[in-house]
Amino acid sequence: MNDDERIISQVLSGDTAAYRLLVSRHERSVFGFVTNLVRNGADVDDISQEVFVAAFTHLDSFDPKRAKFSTWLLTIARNRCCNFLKRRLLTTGDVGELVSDALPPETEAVARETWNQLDAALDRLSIEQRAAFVLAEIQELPLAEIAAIEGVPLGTVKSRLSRAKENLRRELWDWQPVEADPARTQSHRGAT
Amino acid sequence: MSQSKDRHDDPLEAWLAVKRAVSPSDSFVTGVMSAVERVARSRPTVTKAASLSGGVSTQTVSYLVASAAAVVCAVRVYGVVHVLLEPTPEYSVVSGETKPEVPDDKRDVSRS
Repeated sequence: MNDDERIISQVLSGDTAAYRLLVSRHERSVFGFVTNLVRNGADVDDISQEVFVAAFTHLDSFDPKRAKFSTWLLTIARNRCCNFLKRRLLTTGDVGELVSDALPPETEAVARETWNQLDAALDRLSIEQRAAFVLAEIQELPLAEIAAIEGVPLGTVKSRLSRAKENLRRELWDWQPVEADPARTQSHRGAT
Repeated sequence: MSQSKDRHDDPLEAWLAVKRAVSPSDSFVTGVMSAVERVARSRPTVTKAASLSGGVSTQTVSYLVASAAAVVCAVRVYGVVHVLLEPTPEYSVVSGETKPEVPDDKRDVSRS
């Protein structure tokens, strides 16, 4: 029995406060996944919170023999996000704050534009491809775990991921930032 | 994405790094726990999952045995009570015999 399962046993025997430990252990993973899949600031908190509340409500149905708790949690998150995305047309998010923290000011404008372009490309992927990409490349989960979360064979995950990467590469390749380094732009044009 | 080493690797990797760095606010856990406690108060205690308490065997089997015993007892008690409360017939007719007909005029209807 691992740490998660021990905490789950505590919660199931009536110690609701112990659930805080589970939330703390997995908040980053769930929040990151929801943020990158939904990318709509106002809803991310709500959906992430709903995921943990739903997990608490159905904790007695969690079977550690079938999957890890983190996998089960991300499956709930994935289903919530997909339902949300199907209900609502997604608008492009803004990564301004994050860009400012990560890059020096002179490259910020170009980076912002590039990253917004990537965000927009991510939004244009199908929900299935986007989920596979976020889980594999951003959450860095093993493909077998992604297959369990998505409820599809491993081959399907590989194919979705491959198509997602291909689409993102194509989007980035086709797009030329105006402020980009002229030498790099020249070499790209020469290559094509 | 990490396999490709073309000109797009840097912005892609930087973009992915930013995506990976996303984390919730400090108050996120508190918010979740408030919601969880509301849910916990509004419903009875959570029962322990069978799979986490060593399988379905002992508890479920003992419950089934007790239920079956209770049903058997109830049927037997009902049978005994039914027999005790049933009105006793004046005479019984042995299988194969027929109850003799008594003519109406031979019946004792006197009320002395």
